[in-house]
Amino acid sequence: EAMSENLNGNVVNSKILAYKNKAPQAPEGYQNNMRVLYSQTKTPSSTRKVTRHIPQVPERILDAPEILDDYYLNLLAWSCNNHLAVALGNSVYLWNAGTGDIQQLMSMSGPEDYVSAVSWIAEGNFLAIGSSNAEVQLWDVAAQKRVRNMTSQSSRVGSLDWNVYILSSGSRAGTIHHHDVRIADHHVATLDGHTQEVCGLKWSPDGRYLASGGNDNLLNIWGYQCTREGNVPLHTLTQHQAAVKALSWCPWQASVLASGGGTADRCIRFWNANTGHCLNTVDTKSQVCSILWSKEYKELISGHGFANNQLTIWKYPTMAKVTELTGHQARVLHMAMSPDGTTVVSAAADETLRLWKCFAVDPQKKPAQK
Amino acid sequence: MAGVLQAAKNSITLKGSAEIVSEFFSYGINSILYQRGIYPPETFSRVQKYGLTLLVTTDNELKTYLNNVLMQLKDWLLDKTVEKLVVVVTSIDTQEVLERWQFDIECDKTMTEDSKPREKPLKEINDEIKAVIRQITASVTFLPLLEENCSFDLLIYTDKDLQVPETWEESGPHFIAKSEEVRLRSFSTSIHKVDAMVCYKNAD
Amino acid sequence: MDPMENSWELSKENVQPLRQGRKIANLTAALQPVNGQEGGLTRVQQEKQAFEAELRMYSGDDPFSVWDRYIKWTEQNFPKGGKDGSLSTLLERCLLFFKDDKRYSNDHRYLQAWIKFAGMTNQPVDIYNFLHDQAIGAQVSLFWEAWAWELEQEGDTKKADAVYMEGIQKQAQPVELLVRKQKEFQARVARATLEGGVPQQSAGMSGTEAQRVTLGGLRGQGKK
Repeated sequence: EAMSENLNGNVVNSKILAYKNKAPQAPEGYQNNMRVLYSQTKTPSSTRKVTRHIPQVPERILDAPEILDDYYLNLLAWSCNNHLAVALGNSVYLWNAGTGDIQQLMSMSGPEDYVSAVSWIAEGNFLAIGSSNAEVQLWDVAAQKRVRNMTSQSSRVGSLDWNVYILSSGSRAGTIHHHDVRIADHHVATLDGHTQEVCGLKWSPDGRYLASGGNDNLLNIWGYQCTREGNVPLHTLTQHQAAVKALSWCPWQASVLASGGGTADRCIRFWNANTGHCLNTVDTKSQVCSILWSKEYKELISGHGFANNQLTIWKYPTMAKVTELTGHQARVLHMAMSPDGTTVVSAAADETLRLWKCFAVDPQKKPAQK
Repeated sequence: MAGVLQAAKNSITLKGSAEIVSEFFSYGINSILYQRGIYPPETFSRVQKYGLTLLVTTDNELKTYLNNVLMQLKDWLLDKTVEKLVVVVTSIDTQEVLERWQFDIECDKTMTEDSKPREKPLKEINDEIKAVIRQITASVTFLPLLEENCSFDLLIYTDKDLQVPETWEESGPHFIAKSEEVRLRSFSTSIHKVDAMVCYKNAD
Repeated sequence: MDPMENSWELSKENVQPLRQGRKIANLTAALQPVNGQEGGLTRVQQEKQAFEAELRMYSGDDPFSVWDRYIKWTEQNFPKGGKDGSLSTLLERCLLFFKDDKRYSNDHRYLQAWIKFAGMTNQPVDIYNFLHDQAIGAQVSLFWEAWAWELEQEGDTKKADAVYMEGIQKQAQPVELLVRKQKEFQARVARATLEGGVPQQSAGMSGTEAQRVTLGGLRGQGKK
């Protein structure tokens, strides 16, 4: 209909002009590199020097029925007390990785509400829960009791992270709120640096910086000193060409941050948070959903979506591929690491959780220097 | 002083508006060429603009082509004779039109070079442009893979009675017969309004 | 602007790019939040059942046509590619069903389904070797091109070239496409060799190689 309008209307009343000298054509043999988006393309792996044994199959596979297939949520967290929190639909389950006990912690009351984020406090006794109806709940896990419900956000809370007693929440609307969980008037700061959903949120281990990533393709780095209003990021990093969800701070270099981009970007980038400089970048050829640094080795693991659904272990800083862990039948949405650093759990859209013992300490060999 | 500067920043003249619009096309067309894989990614470099990192070609021949077209476009924008700019993506082998990015340009014809400037914060205009370019980047979400090697052409729709310059020629509209179309965001300088849309071959 | 019109952008990371592109209406519908299970079957569930019924009832002379529509419908209506859509399961059912049906050995649509399936597996080249053994696709240039492309991705340019040669020799149709694709492929290899000075095994990897050297320099910086 728009076409016939064009044909009947505009064409008659206007002239269509083109420049006589045409634009050059792409060089011969050039093939659209976007093809990698549509199939399982192997990233060229350098000669693999296998330095240690990494089991290629998961140690365990857990069923995760009704886990929401949504990139923007954060539905997996592992506490220092070895409890794995998993949000499945409208409920949160706790799996005790030591004993194997399963417990349902809570369930949303509204029929259409669902849990959109979970995050453990460092001590492992409280779990923060974000929901589709914009709530930020705080649960005492031992007592199985909700102790707070903080309702300052106005849309879905898809990301949460802790800095001691400050809980930060990121929303679908792009706002980040700091909640001081000790005081009644919990909402102590608003960070306005994203125009679309905040899906990645991570405090640096020393608590100096907060990294936030959004569907607006921005990665912001914020200082810890924030006031209620008028905060601006220390750095706004615009290099990613897609949403930024995967964020992880280096455990041994306080201000080094790794970030991963979505489908139109596919890159892992490394940043110096002090200066905002990009230290390094690698094209992974598929959507990056999550990144974790190893505590034991100078390595990282990344979880991927379209089109490979794999986990990749990389050597840092060369970014040579150490190995790929495959088996998930749909994209890997989230990852978390066991408190001892040996095991990574991945949650995928195939409704399974897989536990990979990929960073086990090798008693025969001296682990990498810290 | 700061107040005067601020006011100047937010005052949009016809000339200023034509510059904003043609600059948008320069970055917008570069984004399309990069994101759609029409040229090798290594022939682009990253620049900061509109609070985004954008990719622009480093190929001299392509740069010259774009400059020539956009310089003429700017003149026509000043003359208020432009109605549309269209990016046509064609298969080199079959000559079939595979993709068509159409930007409809509305112009406030009452504006002259001597008119009192319009008031619109530059930041607001840039934010609107940013949103359009971000959608171009995200369009891989629904656009098909351009499997074959493609070339592109730029078509400019002008007033019917415009004198055609020697370096230009008349062209057909290069429609896609059975197409899917997606409207994208628009932006306005308060003098020119640009509506974006992309058409592509219908999936079976 | 109508927020519905931009829902594709707000949920862009939940959409798997599709080689043939997406219909925006289906995409927008599929990205709407799911509203519980009450109220019976959703439109998508009903349509899925209709396809399953048609598969059972079909009595015409082109049974593959139903599968073909079903596969394409699944791609359009499950943009996340997750468990619900289970495209790979559907493809597997379909491909095995017609594996020994000689009518389809050189059918474009059937080959396209195989190529789709290969793209979803870890070892796509194994799939092409299997098809070659089964003499499926030998007359279709699409098959040879897809196989050669996978080999090229793996850096096996020698084998990739041999695959092009064999396809051309077998006069797979349209053979002009294969001739052109081979020429383009050879130009890529030549350029990569020229630029990188790397052996032809690494064709297509020159960018990565160059990056590795740069990264090597970082190694010193990284250590304390």
